[in-house]
Amino acid sequence: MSMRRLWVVTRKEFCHVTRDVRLLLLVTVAPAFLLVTLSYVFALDVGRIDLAVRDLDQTSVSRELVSQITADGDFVVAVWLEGEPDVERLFARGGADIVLVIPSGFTSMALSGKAAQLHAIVDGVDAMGAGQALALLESRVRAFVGSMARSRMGLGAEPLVTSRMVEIRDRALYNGALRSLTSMVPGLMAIILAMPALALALGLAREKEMGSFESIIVTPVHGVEYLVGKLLAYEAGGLVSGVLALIVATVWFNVPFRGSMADFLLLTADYLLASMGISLVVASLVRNQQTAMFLVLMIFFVPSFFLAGLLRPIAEEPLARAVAYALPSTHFVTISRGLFLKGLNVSALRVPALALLVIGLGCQALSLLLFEKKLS
Amino acid sequence: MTTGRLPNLIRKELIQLGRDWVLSAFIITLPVLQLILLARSTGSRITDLKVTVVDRDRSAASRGAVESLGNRDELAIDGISDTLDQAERLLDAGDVLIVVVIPEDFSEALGRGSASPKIQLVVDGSNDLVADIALRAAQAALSEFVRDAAEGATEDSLTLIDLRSTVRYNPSLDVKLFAVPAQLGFIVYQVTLTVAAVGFARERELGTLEQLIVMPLTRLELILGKAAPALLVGLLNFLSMLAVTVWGFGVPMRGSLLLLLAFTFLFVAAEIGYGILISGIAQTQQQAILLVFVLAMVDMAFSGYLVPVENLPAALRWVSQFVPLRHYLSTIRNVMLRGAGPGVLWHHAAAVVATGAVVTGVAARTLSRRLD
Repeated sequence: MSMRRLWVVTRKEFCHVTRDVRLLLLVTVAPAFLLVTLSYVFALDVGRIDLAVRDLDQTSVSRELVSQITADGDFVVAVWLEGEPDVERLFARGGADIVLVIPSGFTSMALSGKAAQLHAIVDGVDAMGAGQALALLESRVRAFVGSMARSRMGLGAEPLVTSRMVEIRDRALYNGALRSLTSMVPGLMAIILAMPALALALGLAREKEMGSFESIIVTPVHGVEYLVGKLLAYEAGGLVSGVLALIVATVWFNVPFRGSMADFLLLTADYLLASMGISLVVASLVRNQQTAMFLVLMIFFVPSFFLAGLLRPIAEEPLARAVAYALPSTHFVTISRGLFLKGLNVSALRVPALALLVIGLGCQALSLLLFEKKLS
Repeated sequence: MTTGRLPNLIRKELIQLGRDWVLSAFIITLPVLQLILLARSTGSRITDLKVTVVDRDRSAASRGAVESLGNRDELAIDGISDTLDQAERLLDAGDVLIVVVIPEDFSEALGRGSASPKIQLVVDGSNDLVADIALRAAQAALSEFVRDAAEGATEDSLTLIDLRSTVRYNPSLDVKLFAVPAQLGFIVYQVTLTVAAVGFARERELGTLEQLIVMPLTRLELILGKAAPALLVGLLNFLSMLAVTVWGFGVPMRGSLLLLLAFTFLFVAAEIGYGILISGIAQTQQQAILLVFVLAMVDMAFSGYLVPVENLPAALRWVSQFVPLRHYLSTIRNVMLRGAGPGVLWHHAAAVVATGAVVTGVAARTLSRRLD
């Protein structure tokens, strides 16, 4: 491999990327832009739960129950129902998540010490959300019972609740307030930094499609030099967008960055190497950009969102787990959160870093092999 | 529009698509494979988050508390740590998600019945969603354990109010029923948009756009011709994935298939409008594809799949009205799970048609500017 020829190829690629202003923006600035947009959407600390309440009891106790349930804003009364509720319509239009029915006689039952009934109808379509909402509602009702018992004790009645509470102190490391932005922004970096890799796959497929690939083959540039040169140009673009994204994360979103800058650059380059490796393999397999894009989107981008541990922990299901570990983004989510939030250094992050290196080098070698085969 | 011209153009487009058999094969099979993979991994509740326990008490009571933690679906006990330091190293490495510290006087405090036993939880907050689930589960398990263990807690405070809950549409709260239809919608979206977006950009890049322009075709005919393969691909994918969703994953189809199919048609048409707009703006396929990537991420964020639309801030919720994917996902759920009819769906349909018409109009104008 000749350094001079490598440099020539890198410069050629660089000219390609910088001359096309739109492409340059898409490779460098667009990732930072996406980070801003996506982070706002994902930064939702509390999901508000809309209640539709039908209060048939209409006493101070029933009103107190509702006001205690809605006291801190987790639950909001979206509508007070007057007549028989049309539950189907309410749920289908998204007017409410839970319909709460307080039957008449609720207060007198509760005060006489018999179990007073309360009916909640839940929209189960979003199963996870519905389960959480229901658990929260149950705990609110339990708290209300406790406060009712205490106020009766104050009136000299027999204490109804004698069970002691356990005292649980909890503390969240790395993200004390469990702020959503703090954990999502570093995670999303893995997704947005896949853009330079996508651009590389397309750039390569484009040369094959346009036939300019052949004209490069007849020059004295070797296959390795050609691929490495291309890689370096896009790697540089990727590092620029990585730094931009880091600035957005820390300055705009106030996400703490506890690791070192050198580690960040090194590991980002590592990630770019791995994701571009996958791009190269894709590009060497297909004949045109459309197919290259389709493959990159389908095997890289969408699974990254769902399998890489961004929102959910990495799946237990064996196939999904295997795919997750083969995806560079899975390892970079770990790295990025480790650098930003846990303040880890390279040696603490060696497992995901080495995984990226293995994926990167393995894919480069494979793509080289595929290219050589095509050329001969 | 003379008969013959448009069908000829459509035939040309379909032949082109069919000749690229690698792409066609991917377009037909990958979406179904992706649906299966994603549905299997996201279609379940979050369970078995790893817990390590620092048990300083080492009594029957503390072992009981640990067991109560392990009995929660959400948590799985992953060994006992000797010191808090050791446990926090496991947190750093990401090997466990939550540390439970049981103090020396746990069983004593529990037995004496005066002071409340103090338990410490340390959770890895780097993924707040998961941390929240782990914390809640641990708190619930420990409170329950202490309540059951404490003597004199015979009076059950819960019976004072009997909260009965009914879950509509999905009584077992099966996450699959929510996740799989959403994946279905998202994949249809992705495929149609990408196929449509490269249409003109490819012709321009290969220099064949000039030839198309000099042919006696109107702009509308050109757009319709380009839309045909995307439409075909979108509907084909929809049907094959719907079959997997219903028969493979057992998601009920409570509403009318015809209604859903009609809505899918509207949605796919609107997305093709977006694709053609991108195709008209971009000068190269590379640009077109990267623009699709940007649009897809933004659309996904607004679609209500990952984050319910109702939870968005008011301004963003307003913006989401113009995202056809959001209406499509609502409609799929409404029809499949709630069995909703046209009465509920018409405003989603209206939003999709309006947005689609405006976008296609803009696309046609952009294209004409470029052609002249």
